[in-house]
Amino acid sequence: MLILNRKSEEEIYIETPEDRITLKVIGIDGKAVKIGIDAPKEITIYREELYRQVNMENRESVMKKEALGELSGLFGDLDDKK
Amino acid sequence: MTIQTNVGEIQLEEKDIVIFKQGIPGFELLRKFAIIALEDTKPIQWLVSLEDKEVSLPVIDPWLVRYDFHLDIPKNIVNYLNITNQDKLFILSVVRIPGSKPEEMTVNLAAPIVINLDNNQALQYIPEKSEYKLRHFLKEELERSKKLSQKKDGDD
Repeated sequence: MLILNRKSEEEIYIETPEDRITLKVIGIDGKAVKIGIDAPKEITIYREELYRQVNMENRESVMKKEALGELSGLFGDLDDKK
Repeated sequence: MTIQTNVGEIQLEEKDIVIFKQGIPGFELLRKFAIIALEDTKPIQWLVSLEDKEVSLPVIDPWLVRYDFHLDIPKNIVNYLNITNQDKLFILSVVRIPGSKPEEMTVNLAAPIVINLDNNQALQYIPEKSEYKLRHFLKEELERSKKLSQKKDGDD
């Protein structure tokens, strides 16, 4: 992992062949660092823990059809409406 | 083409293949999926990998679970999926069934699967902030939806 020292207000550029993403240290308050990110519109930015939660949720969801169990009745009322 | 999946052997055409350019969280290396609707698991559908036959996720129409579900798709996702027509979006929620007990089923309303049917590009959209949770209990949601829809019918 590349490790860089940055002070408040200092920036880092991450360049891909097409784009540049700018990270800026906006401020530091104790253990919390506020980071500003400038990125192209189609780029998606996640907090790692949020992404990890979805990752774990998806992994837990994987199942075979046979393991589904008995569904009938669960959706009874809504099925009738459809 | 015929493909072996976790939910059985399925017949597919090229146009049925949905592409997740970055995979889905947990399965980042898998790109090609299909949505399979099976009569015997209705209303649960299946998001199946066409590259790893062990990977199949139960999914459901979020509006079946939450009557007044709504979703705002931000500009970056519109660009990413090249969305030109909102009517061509297909939204699904991943379902989790702990220990094969359907009555304990939870539904991920916070991070829906968004598919652009115009070009079959898809992603799992993870909003930074959502009013929904990763786990909504199906039973509670169905009760809530039932009350809401009855209220609405009464108003009409």
